[in-house]
Amino acid sequence: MKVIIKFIVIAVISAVAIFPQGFNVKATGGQTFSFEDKYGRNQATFFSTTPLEDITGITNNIKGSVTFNVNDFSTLNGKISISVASIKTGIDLRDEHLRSANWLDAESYPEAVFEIKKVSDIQVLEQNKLKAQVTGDFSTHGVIKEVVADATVTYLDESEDTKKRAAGDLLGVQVKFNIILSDFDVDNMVLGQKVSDDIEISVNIVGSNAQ
Amino acid sequence: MNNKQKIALLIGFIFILAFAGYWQLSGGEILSKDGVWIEKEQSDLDKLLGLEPEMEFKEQFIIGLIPHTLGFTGIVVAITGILLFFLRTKKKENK
Repeated sequence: MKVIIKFIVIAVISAVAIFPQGFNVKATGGQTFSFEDKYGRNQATFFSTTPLEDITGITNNIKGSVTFNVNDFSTLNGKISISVASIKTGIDLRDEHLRSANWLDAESYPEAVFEIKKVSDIQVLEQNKLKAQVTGDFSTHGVIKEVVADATVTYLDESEDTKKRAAGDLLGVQVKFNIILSDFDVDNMVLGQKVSDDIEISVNIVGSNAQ
Repeated sequence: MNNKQKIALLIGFIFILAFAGYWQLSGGEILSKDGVWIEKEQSDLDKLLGLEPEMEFKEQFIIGLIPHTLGFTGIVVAITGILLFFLRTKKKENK
């Protein structure tokens, strides 16, 4: 009896691991979604917390694209670029410091880029919604490091409602990951006092597959 | 310490306590802030897309411990100190 139960458990785990996990929507096959939004509604948020001060930096200047097979999300690839030069914290002087050569050096490295390498731990939450861990190379300040992001992705077939935002099917992506600033050679003298070394990055973007 | 000095000390203490209470009620922030990030109302489509609310900056002065509350406290302490000095009882010289 124990052998049979073990066999069933292994069979179920293997089936989950082998069968591709993706969206159950109208579209099939490979789809490419572009995240360029001329209205600037896509948003990336940077959050630093220290005993002295919490700082939130925001930019709406995001571009990039991803391609994947709708029925197999593990085929995901592509890259997302976030404009470092346009990050706003709500205080102009602090924004200048952030962009300066001592910090992110926006003149030399105007963009932070996340390039997708691998997708794992895919969990189908609904027919058009799934959660996954996305591993990729994150580059900023001229340094590239591998990071693992938690992503929640929602696929909406084109409808009268989605057309209000953009033509084509829409892909809503919500990504969160942390980076250590000193790993990216950002070693400003006030680091750890007013700005944390550990920065949480949250990206909320919507892409469209319209040509 | 004479009565006048005691009153000056008490008034100074009340001022500091009142300002500290105001600072605490204003959010008890360590640093003064020029504004706050607030969440924008989400559209139904954004909710369907599983997005978090978009943030926007709203200008609003929030008093902080540094520099405003500590600065005010320092001024009150200095004025109280000066008052204590000038209100001290002067000894009469014996001829």
